[in-house]
Amino acid sequence: MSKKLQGNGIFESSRMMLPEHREAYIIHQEQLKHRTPPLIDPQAAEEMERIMASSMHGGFTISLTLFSEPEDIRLAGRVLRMDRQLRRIYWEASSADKYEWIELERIIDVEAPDEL
Amino acid sequence: MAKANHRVIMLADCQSFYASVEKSTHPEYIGKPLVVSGDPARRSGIILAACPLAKQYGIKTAERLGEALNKCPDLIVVRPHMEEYIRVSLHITEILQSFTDLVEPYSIDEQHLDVTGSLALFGSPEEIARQIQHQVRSETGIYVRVGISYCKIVSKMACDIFAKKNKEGIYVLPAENIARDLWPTPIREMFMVGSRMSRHLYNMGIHTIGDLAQTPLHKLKSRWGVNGEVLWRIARGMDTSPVTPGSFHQQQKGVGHQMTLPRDYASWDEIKVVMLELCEQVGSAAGIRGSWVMSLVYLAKEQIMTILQVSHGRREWMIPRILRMKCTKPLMYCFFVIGTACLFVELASP
Repeated sequence: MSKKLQGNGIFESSRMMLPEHREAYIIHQEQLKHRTPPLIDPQAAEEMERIMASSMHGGFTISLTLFSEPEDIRLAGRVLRMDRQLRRIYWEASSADKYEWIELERIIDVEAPDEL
Repeated sequence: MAKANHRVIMLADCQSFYASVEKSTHPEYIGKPLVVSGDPARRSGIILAACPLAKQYGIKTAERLGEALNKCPDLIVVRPHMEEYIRVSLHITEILQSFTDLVEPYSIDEQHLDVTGSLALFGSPEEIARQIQHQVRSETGIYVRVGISYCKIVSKMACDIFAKKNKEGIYVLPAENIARDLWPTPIREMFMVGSRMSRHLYNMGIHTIGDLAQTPLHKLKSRWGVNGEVLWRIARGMDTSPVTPGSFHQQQKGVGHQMTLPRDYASWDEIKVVMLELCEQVGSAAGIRGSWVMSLVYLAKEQIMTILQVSHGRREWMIPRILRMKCTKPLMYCFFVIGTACLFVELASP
């Protein structure tokens, strides 16, 4: 699928901002109060692990929300491996051939497709 | 909408932004027709913004200053003060951020807000919009129009097509009213449709937004590819794009500079000086000493077009690209900036 039809694509491709405005805005945003990661309820954590395990076994595409201080990051893809000892998952992104390890503590939300 | 079982998205648009900032800074201009324009002596005498009073004389944005003065000889003309406009724009961002942390500027005078999580604190969407209007006006003197809907695209059209034209400056366009309110609107007023695209659509028998929404998708895709699908989705109000305050942290993809010449330059020796200066500015803005900045210059009959590209090292990648372009564009020169040094190469003679 084209980048224009994904996420914020339409607005990213049509936004009109002067470089000076963009720079001033980024500085403004950095000066805002720092965010802290939310506390995850144990039941919610269990449910998130269940969805990730289903993605690994069934090959389903799921959505992850990762905590990041300026703004949370949303990813779509599937779980290839779960390393419970090191508390991390091996992740394949849907948008590109990109594989990475993601620490479980960074994951603050997991969404499954309706059929799961 | 008040219960927010779906998103509540707003687009706040500042009326005649540059002109309003000037009037706010210079109260003596209040009640007088005012435009912000470049300097005619430097051939940049284009109207950048006109206040509503000036618009009553038929003055339009992007018109030549001379034409505007013919329409209204008493017109007050001020030069642009971009730093001040950016400062005021950020002040408005701050005001909007006092209602929600989900604020995303779309341009210097338009910003999206997601107030879904703020309804319990500040009231209904219309009440929030009125509070925003009041606060922005009292702190900056600028009148803000607000389009309200369930997504960014529809909130933008709610603002541009309806809120800008009504007395209150606020318009709510929920999903269930799209067919009734939005679809009868002429296609030229739709978001992302310019004059050329509206002509193409007219030729296809698509006159309204509703016509486009009901056109089979494959017909649009076969003609314009992904852009056809983008237009179809806009017409149907299909948009899940989030309000993302941090999307500006992405790496800048291009660096460019431009210059309006004080007079026509006919000789290549003169043009070369300007090009070298532009290349140096790009090299300096890119701030990557040791990397290569490449400028390609095409000389057409009546215009000069340049493409400036920045490449991070790997010069062997650049040479084949230059040569490939040389074949298609015979009138071309190439500049390299390496650190602070400039190198000019003539690839073909004009």
